[in-house]
Amino acid sequence: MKYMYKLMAVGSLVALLAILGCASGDDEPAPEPQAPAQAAPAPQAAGAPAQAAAPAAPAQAAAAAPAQAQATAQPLVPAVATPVTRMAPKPEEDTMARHGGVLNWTPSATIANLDPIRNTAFVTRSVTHQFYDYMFGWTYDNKSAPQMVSEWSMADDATEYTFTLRENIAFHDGSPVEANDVASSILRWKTGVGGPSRVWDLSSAKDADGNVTAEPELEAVSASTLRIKPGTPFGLWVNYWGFFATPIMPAEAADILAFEDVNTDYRGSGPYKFDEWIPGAKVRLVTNEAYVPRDEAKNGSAGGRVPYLDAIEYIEVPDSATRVAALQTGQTDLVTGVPHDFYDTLESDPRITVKILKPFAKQQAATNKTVQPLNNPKSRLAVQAVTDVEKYMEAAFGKPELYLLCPALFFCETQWDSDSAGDLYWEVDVEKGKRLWAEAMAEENYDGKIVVLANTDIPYLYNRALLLKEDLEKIGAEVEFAVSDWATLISRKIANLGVDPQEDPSRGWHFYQTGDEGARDPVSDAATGKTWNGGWGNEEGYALAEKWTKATSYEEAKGYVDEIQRIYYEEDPSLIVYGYSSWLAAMANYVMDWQPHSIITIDGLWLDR
Amino acid sequence: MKRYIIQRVLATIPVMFIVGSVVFFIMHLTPGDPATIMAGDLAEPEQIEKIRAKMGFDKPLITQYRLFFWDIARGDLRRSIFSDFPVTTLVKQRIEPTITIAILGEGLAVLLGVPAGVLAAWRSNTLVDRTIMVFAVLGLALPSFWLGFNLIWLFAIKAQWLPAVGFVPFGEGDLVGWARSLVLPCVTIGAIIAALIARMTRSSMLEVLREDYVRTARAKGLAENVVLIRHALRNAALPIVTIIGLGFAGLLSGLVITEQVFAIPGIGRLLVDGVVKRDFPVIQGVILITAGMYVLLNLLVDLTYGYFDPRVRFR
Repeated sequence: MKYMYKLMAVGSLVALLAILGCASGDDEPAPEPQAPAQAAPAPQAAGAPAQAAAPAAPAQAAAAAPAQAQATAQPLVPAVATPVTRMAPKPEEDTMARHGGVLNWTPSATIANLDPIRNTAFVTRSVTHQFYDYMFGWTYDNKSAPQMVSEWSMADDATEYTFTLRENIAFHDGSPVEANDVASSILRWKTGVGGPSRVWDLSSAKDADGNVTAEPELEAVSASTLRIKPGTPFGLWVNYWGFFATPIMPAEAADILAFEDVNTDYRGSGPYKFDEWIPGAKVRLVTNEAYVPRDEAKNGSAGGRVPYLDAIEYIEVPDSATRVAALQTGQTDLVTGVPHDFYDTLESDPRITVKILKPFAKQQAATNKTVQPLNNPKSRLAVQAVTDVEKYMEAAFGKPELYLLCPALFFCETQWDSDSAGDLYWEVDVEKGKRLWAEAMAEENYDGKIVVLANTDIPYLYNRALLLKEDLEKIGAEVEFAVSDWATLISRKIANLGVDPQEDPSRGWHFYQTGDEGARDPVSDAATGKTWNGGWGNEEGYALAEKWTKATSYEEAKGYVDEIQRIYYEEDPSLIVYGYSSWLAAMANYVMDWQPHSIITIDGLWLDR
Repeated sequence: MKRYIIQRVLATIPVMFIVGSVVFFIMHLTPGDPATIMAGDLAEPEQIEKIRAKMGFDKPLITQYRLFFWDIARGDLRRSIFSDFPVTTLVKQRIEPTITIAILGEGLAVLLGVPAGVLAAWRSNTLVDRTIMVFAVLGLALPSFWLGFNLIWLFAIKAQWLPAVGFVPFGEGDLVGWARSLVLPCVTIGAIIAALIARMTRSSMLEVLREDYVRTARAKGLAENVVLIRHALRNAALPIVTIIGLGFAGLLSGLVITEQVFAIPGIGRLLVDGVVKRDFPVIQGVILITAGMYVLLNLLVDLTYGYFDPRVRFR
């Protein structure tokens, strides 16, 4: 038995020594405070929960067409780009040293599948953008710019586009990319939820009842030339194409897919090639040595896409604290979509660089306007009046540098930033809220509960839902707080959109919290659209959005934006807007030449280990 | 014996049928629809309906139930709704880390728990006993995610001795990497089972140590370790073996959390991902396989009774 004692004693000693040894690590000098994170480039994208489809969103900037082919289409609006931090060009002799290495990249969410058309989650697009190439890229300053296209033109009346493909572009199996591949890819792309289907719809002719009478025609004029004839004059195709990029895949892969099918043929023509996917564990991409980049500096997802790395391993780590630990221990090189709670921890680590993309997504409370009392605009004005936007954003994202407060409906600090009726965005007036709420309840003869859907699996949304409940109670509402996970919430809100919560509070609903990375203009913004959650329903707003697509100058278009925003805040808020969130990425200091963008591309990134 | 084993194996069929039925109906009655998750927040109802039809969710529930069991009967666990991989392939990809951690974690738990329990019983009501039992209670009380995060902080972030995340497959040939990747998850999962085993061993041993034959053995002048190990422990083994078997089965479910914390691509994470996305075939397949393993483990535990107690006969 004495051996047992000895065994226990030795074990205890070893454990004690181990603990002391580890604790001694605390005596190391405190890490030097890190320089402030590099300013994010042009704002972008939406921060809806990872599972949510990314809504539409390009800014209406004039596409950068080759000078010799540029046509003046009817609605060309001059771009007002925000200042951007461009990566400094490196001397040519340095570039060979950049090649090689494997990037371990840890995303913020699990990948459901690798089909960016059927799954518009940000993480899916982040991976697939590396092995697909696109006709147009999206620059840091929010413009479309040719990527697979060498030249393009548009007829003066915006009824015909012609695109010529670059030379030497090939799929990963070696077969050349031809115009019919692009046409087939577009036909699949247009079935995508959100932006692609909206672009297709805008370029289709309709009768007085809104029924489609002519869809765009696609024609492969030659192996390298594609012609698109919109069903109605539509001059914004290229402008939107950079953000709602079409992944170009072989025609034989695209043609066999129905709407509901998930693509599992991962042949693209991008700078990296698909190698392996172990669902829930990792995706491995390897360099495409045959890729010929454009002879230009990288600019967002546009410009020269140079694959410096031997491989990219996209490793899924489900827990956010573990993701951060993996970066701190050198097990991963790049973590994207870092929860804001970890900002301070990572900022104080001298081995790590944190980058912020801001604004990333419009944060808002979605409303169900198909049911009482929210069908009455006064009820939404009441909630808007009682909303302290700063309180909501602070509860969700913490530090002021991690969010942006501004009344713009279509993204702060972009060309459609507007202060129109901004005082109502900032206003906090509980008495006004109570009065408007009481009027709405009386006019609608509603005395039921207000159902707030909340989900606990995305903490920043849940925090805001709690505040909304509190504010609704302040103005006199009796709140039913329905807690679930995001998947259940989305299913419930879609299945029960028209169900009266007064009759069935277990199914019907009034509010839930969400974000939108794509609300970039009056057409791409889901909140002022016609379909999402029953649509905005404001005919005057719809008419202004229609006029916006046909504006012939920036000033005219900006006037429509200001007026839409005025109607929104003064008369008919579709949703309750809080502000704009940021998106964080953290990387080891040896990760070079990468900056966050609404479309993540890893080409151009290299490792200086 | 052979007849007994055959009977027990055949008895798994109704068990699996019941488990399959319960899982099927719970899944289909739980709110949350994979089609809406796949289509996203902005999808139109028609788009969601198309996806639902493709998944077969537009059929009556009873038809779906019949088709589900027809596929199971043919050995087809179906394909993941999202990744389109066969569920059997997904399970094969994930089985190695789960089984490895379960076996090594259980082994660690037995190595720690049994001697600690024997020692506590031998020195009952002394400082040794109380110290061991304090640790046993702590082991049972501490949530595995808490323990896991603290081990990561201590041994990965602070000491930088061990990796914080991931699993190195044995087949990659990096034996050191393989072993290092297993330490923290095995300790996390093993600590809880060790505490359980220690408590059960102590109480079982305490009963046996009061028996006359133990007094006789000591009176014969046998060495104390012979008395404890050969006479007492073997007779106290039945409840300990039972708890080890149950612990192993419970450990399979405990790995759901441990695999999340340490980002280990195992069966537990496959199940969690499936639940979050409402990937019905994955959830059903994983639970059926886990249930089957549970039943087989129980059978193995029962069969070991005969070794520890020759009076046990299988009929």
